[in-house]
Amino acid sequence: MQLKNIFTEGAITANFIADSIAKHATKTEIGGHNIFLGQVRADQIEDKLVVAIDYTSHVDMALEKMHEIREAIFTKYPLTCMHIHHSLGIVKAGEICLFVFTSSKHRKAAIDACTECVESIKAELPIWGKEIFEGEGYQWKENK
Amino acid sequence: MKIEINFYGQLTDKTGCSSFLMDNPGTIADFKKLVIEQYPNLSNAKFTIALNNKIALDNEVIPENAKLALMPPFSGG
Repeated sequence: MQLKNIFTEGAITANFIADSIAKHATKTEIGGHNIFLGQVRADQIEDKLVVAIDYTSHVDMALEKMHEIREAIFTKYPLTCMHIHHSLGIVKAGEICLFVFTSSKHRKAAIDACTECVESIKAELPIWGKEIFEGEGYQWKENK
Repeated sequence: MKIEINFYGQLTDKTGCSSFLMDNPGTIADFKKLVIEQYPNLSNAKFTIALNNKIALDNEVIPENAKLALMPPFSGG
């Protein structure tokens, strides 16, 4: 079975997101979209400033797990479609590292499925973020 | 037969390497004991173990040609 790739090297661009929205114009059964965008935050940690996050993953396992999450969400909610993109490698502060896009006939399914998908991605996908400090040094990100 | 072990995230800082090969020790619990002996810095680290891409339980028997992953808490998104 071919698993859907969710990983993009580097940041997810605004153009990519805009194109993804535009592609749905032909799917006229859709009445509502919901989009979550995760952005790298320039956290101040003591006297150090986060300038980027370097993402790594256990890719094979992440794609298998994402497939399971996707199946479960499609079973639970009447979605027309769902698209997921997560960055690997360096994403600078202010850039987008996660893009989750759900669409359905009526808004509630899209909104609820999107929220559930984001929570599952954060809790269940083997992905790690290394917060790179300005100048030198880093710390490993912890999800709250 | 050797099994392949991969470390992820902050565990690579504790081990100083990202992967190694070892003889199949038997079960996940046996493996845990050996890997901490080999990399003592892991003794106070939080991690879960995946066996061939699935989270493994201590009593699971490791098959031949297995791939094990030691994974610290996830921090994607």
